[in-house]
Amino acid sequence: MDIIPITIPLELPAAIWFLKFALIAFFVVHILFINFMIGGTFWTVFFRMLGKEDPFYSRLAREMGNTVTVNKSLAVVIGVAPLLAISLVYTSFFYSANNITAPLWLSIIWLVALAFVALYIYKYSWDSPNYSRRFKYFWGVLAFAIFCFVPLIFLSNINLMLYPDQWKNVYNFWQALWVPNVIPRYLHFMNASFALTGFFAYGYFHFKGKNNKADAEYYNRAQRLGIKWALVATALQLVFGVINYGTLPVVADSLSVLTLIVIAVIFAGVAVFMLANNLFVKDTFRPEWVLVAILVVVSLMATLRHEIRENALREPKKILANKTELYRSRLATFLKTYSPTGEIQLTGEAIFQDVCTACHAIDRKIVGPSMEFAIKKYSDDRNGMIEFISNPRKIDPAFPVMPKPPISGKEVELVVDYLLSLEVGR
Amino acid sequence: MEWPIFQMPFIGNRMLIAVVALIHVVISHGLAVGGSFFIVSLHYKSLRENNKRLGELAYRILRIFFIITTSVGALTGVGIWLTTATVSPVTIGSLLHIFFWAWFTEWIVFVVELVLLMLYYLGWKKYGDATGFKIGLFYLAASWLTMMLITGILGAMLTPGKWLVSGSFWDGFFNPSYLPQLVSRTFLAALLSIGFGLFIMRFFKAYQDQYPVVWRWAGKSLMILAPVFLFGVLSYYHSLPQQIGHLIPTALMTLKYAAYAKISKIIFMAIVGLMVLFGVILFIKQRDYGFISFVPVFLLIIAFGSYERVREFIRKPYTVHNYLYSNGIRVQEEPFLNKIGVSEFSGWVERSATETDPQLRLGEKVFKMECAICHTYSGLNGITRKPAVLQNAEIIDNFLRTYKRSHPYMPPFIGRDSERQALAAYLDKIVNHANAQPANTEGNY
Repeated sequence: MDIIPITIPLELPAAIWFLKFALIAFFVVHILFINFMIGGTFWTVFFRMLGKEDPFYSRLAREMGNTVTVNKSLAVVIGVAPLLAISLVYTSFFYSANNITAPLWLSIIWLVALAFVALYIYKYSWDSPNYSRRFKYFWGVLAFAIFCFVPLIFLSNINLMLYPDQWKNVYNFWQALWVPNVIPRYLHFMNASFALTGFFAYGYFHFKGKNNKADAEYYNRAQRLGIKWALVATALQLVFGVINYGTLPVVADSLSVLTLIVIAVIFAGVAVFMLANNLFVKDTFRPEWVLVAILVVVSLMATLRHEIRENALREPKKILANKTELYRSRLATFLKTYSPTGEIQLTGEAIFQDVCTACHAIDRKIVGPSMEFAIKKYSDDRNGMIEFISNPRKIDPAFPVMPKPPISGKEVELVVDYLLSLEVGR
Repeated sequence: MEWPIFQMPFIGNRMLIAVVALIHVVISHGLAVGGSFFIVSLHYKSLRENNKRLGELAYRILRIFFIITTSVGALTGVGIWLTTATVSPVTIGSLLHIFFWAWFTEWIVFVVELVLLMLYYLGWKKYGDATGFKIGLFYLAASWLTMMLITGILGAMLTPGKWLVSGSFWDGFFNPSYLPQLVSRTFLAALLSIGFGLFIMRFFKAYQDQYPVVWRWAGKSLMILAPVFLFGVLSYYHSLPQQIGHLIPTALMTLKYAAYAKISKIIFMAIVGLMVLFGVILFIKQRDYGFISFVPVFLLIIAFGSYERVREFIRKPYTVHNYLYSNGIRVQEEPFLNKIGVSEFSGWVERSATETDPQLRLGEKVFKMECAICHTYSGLNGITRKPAVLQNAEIIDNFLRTYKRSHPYMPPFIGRDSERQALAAYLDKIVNHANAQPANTEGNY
């Protein structure tokens, strides 16, 4: 706890409630596209394999791949807003966690860039007769594998930032993985990606099918497949959700967390009920309602994560506030008694001490030659010395070339007069 | 100081940022802003001359632009955030407090640009000629708008001069170098896009019949654009001293800059001359010379990398002028830390310290807090590469005491005398007693 960096002494650029709201709201949009990207990538690879026997799957895989092209780019660009917000709201905690996992944290850039390029190769080699099946699948599988790994880096970071008492034991990403709650959260997140991709497919193919009556059979089947995925994965979330909640550290838990979970489960239940009804009984509920219900669930989940953050950081924030206050009061007391020395005209000797002694001494060579040597050389050539100091050149290869000193012409003269007045080297 | 330290082995922190930034600059200028110009121009030409095949070729080149900008281009953009914040959290944290709204606005324009790019490329066939071309124009406008905004924001960050006095963000935004920078960036983008576009075009052999049309257009464009670019660059160099003048009162900086600018101007003139020549050849002979044709573009990228470097150099030894030193120490706190010492706040570096001797350990921690942001051990800007200044503990200590005026682009040494002596002892050990180096001097962990 004692290494939490003290707060940056600048005003927040916006009201804290606004920043927190922006953090949650933009994060919801960001994470939805991330979910669609991960699940969609799985669909486009998995169903393409099934497509060998059934052309329906082939077409489905291709159309899902097209949505990934859009969703993945939106996911990245929209992610910048919550990144800015979290950096401002939790500066001391977020940046510290990033530092601990740094090499892996920075590798996200290159891993995701590689995954995106792989997805393009996968997409644009689809119909090409020049490449083998293995080549084509390789790129899709590679992209999916990267998408499975990168969330681990994010989650280990975002989790580590909540528990500063762990920072003393955790030195890298691999250790950060085993801080309580990371792996259960990861499983919960990945399964959510499959569930939400099911909901996405349901909505996407429903609305596409509306404008495409001729293809009703295809769109109908695609929608129903989406519903099935949504149902199964959402049901599984009961298991993953329980594990996730069960491993949540006690400090992060609270009544508000539990309340949000209950409300979220109710909304998820409503969505599941509507889906099951549409699938097994009769298409009575409009997809808009189902999607709104699940959007509420995702928003509740993001709010819940925020509650957990606030709970876990309650004590660390107090410690940080004390630490910051202590530092500031010490600084303020010091500055009250401190008065900087003003601009005064320095003597030649003072300028020499200030500017030249980094490299020169009077009686011996340091970085540059001794002043005894220089005084001897220029004893009858004041202007030569002024000229050299004003525009140093390389003379003796044994020494590095002297940088031009940052002093005015008048000051150069003062230094020269001081040096030449010395009773040395003659 | 009280914030965590990151040390990029061998290439150093600054080079790490430079690599990410340069890749991003080349892609965002050449393939996004310039790319939109290149494609929309060809699109327009194909519509005006009713040349369907030229349109198809433009679409295929756009695909490559789209792939690179939305993968490596977009990710290195985010990458600048992740990398700079990791290298210096206190700097990015402070800048974020100051520039949040500027960056937030920038982000909105980015989202708009991306959406337009996707509509333009993914909807090329769906929207048909008239609507598609209109979307292309909007995309061109949006991507130029991002450049217009960022140039101002970068300017405000690097030379906040007047803004610090007047408190008006716009004084920093429209700083003296704003227009020259915007002009040179805009035309750089166009020049780069022609280079990349012609290079990519050669992979679509099926459209060879269209090559002469594109070459002729590219040649004409180069002849017009390159001189304007040169004008922008020269007026940029001309405008800089005005800023340096009141920001950095040390003659050395101005001098270093003047010497640099002189060489740099000549190099830019030579490159632009080469590009005009290339333009003339393209226009008249309507052929190009494979990889050789890419040479001027490649040189242009390198030269522009150094142009960006000058921009960065100007703000030394600060990251926020007169407020924050490059190593994350606030200027105001300098005398305070000189009194109480920096090692009061060395929790983070204590974690990674490897020296066992107490004095060397103190020195190691001070090195990591104050120097490691720019200096590696034996890599780029490494301390072992400066044996002349770091001969022995006594000379080093002397240097640390006085370099504030002789090396004004380095933040001054800050801390107690005992800390300075410890740092001198540590540097002496690393530089002059290499055999005694601990196994793990590179890296953070």
